[in-house]
Amino acid sequence: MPAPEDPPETAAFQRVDWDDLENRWYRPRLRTVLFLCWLAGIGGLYLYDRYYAHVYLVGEWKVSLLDWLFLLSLAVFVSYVLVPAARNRERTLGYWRRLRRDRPALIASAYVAVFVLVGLVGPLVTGDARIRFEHQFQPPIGFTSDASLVHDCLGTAADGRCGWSLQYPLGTDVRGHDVLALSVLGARVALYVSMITATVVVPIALGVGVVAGYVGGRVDDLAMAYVDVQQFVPAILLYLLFKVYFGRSLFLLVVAFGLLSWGGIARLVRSETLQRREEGYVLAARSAGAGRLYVVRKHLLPNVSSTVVPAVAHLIPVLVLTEAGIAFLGLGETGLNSWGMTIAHGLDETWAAPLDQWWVSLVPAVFLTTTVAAFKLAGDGLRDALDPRGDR
Amino acid sequence: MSGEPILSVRDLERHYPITRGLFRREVGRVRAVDGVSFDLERGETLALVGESGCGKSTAARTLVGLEDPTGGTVRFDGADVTTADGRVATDFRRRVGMVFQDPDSSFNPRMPVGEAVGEPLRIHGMRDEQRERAIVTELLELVGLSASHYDRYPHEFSGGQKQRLALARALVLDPEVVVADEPVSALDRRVQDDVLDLMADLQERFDLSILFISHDVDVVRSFCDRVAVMYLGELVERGPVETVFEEPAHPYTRALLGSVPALDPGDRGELVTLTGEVGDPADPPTGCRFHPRCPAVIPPPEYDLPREEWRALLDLRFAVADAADADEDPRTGDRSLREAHGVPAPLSDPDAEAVLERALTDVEDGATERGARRLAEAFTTVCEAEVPPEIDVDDRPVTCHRHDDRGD
Repeated sequence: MPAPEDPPETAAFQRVDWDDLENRWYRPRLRTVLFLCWLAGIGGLYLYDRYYAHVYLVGEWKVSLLDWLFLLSLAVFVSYVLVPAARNRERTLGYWRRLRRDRPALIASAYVAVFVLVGLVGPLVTGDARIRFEHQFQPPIGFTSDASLVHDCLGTAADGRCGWSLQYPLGTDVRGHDVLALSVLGARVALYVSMITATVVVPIALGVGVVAGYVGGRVDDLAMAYVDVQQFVPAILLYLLFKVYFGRSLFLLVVAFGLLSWGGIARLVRSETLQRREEGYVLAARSAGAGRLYVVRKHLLPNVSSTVVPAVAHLIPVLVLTEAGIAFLGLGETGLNSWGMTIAHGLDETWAAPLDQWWVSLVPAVFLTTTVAAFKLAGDGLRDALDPRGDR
Repeated sequence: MSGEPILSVRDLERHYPITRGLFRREVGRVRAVDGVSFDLERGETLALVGESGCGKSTAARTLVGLEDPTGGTVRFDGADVTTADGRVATDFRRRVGMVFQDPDSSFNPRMPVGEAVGEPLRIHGMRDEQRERAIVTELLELVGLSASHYDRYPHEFSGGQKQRLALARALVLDPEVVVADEPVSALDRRVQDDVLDLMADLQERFDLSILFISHDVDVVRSFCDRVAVMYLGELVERGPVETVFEEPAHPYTRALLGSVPALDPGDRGELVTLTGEVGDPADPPTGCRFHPRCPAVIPPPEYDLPREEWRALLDLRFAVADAADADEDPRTGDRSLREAHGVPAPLSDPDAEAVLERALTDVEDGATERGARRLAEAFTTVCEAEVPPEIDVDDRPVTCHRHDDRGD
């Protein structure tokens, strides 16, 4: 019997004055404060932009509705993912340690990080893709293009072929757009799609799933019946409907897909919640006096992450692909240099055969494929990394 | 140990509605706990014992407030806590700790165990992390673990260690009562002993009163002072462990004791084994709920039948009745009904034999319903007809007709 020798007269927990502890007014956590500040900032900026500034907010930045939405989702991401991770450094280091051991997931995560960075900052560097017909059909580094298609060959021309130049490392398309710049702009579109839909989908799915699973009964029946109905409405149909009334816009696309794609994840969260709400640790917390909100925050949400993280990581690439598909079909927002649109341009035979301008479609296609694959790999890796049981 | 019990439960009821359809119309009720009363005295260990499915865990959860009781009262230290809220409820939750059966689900896999043990402190408003850590560290040592375990995760511990941690968590609010729901059932016998020793130690040191829920008669015998035996949502017998286990007054207690494989088969004269399953709490048997399985079910005075014959005859009667309800032929295979239920031919009472003969002929002719009615009219038992009252047998409450004036 491993009883302690010579224990003190009273244990520390016996010396607690319980009445003294109970002045527990709510103290908001840093993430919440930060989020509210950010929200207020965006709100102020929006009002300033709307009623005071003319056309441009800062410099030449015309802030679209989509940009505001993106700023909001960025606020959610930073406050509820990055800040908690930075605050609880030890736990984050544990995640990192586990992620590091999974080589493919690590590489994929690194790619996702670069993708996010390029999507955020890239367009500031490259600027908008400018039309320069005189520079059309420049080949990418290491290749040549048919000189008869090229107006001004920037590289060395020989044998009816135009050589590459450093000015356009990934070549140019029919209008002289820099393919590198187009790819970077496409990354921004993909980033917008993934960030915004994720921040729409995750809170709704978590909210509906946890409430349905935890409250149960009629609420559960109703919520799940609604999800069933919703899953019968294809988001693309809703987008096409929006398009008829409001015109093509990435904003509407993101809204349509964000609002209709959370059903599956909500269902997963619900079943996970149902399973866990009777677990010993939930009962223990409740028998100690924990309220529903406490149980949800401390026990249910951390444990559904293992289903939500990979589910979202699989949803995002589907949405990115869908957006590219819509743009490829020419149904996307005009003038938005989505990867799908660039691919479509590269395959357009009006001015040159697709094989004579192969890089225009290939480069964005490679980015698209890599991004999709990276999200899936990183999602699976992250799920394993978030689970402390992986430490064996 | 003053006179007043620390925890006093009266007529506790927990029914679950069975609902159907879109509007959740109630079509029935599962009577998981159906009128349970007992007192937990200060400093004692009271066992709530019964087969799995008898409602003992639900009773425990209901009395600590994890489930809302549908009836009855729970008084803690003199105050009614059945539907309490505010101060009284907070106080009650602090002063009652709970330990659960499954060590693997007792801890959140994503929370270091130190944090989990200290969680009740935070729930009750402690914001001082240093202090919390000090309290938890000391407790970890008290239950036989060490401070270095604080930051580990649950999967790094064995079942026995997790139950020690669960005890630490139950104690962290300095409770007076610990409700332990099958705390050692998932452990090996050797580990069981260690954890029980620890519980006894902690009980003595911190003046705990323990409500110990278990299906394991041997564990109860070695660890508890008093015992309440539960069957299908009701208590059938209560009393000190020695007397209840030495001289069980209720046939169910006797059967429960017999169902434990004894190391020395010679140490109990009469060994009865329980057959069949615990009844359906959604549709409990009338009268005494144990009568469909009771080996000592009381025969009507007009017949003179030995106990086994009467039991077999009743089994046959119930089988025919079930078959009549379901509109089936009660005979299965090529065995006769008599053989299938072990009813001797002829019965030792000629009157009973005559009735049985006629009923079997009915069944033979395909008139199962008539046969069932004939059997039901002739072979009645007080155990089925009337709910047994609670009677004091040697100063302990027992609910069995064999002890009121009708029996024997």
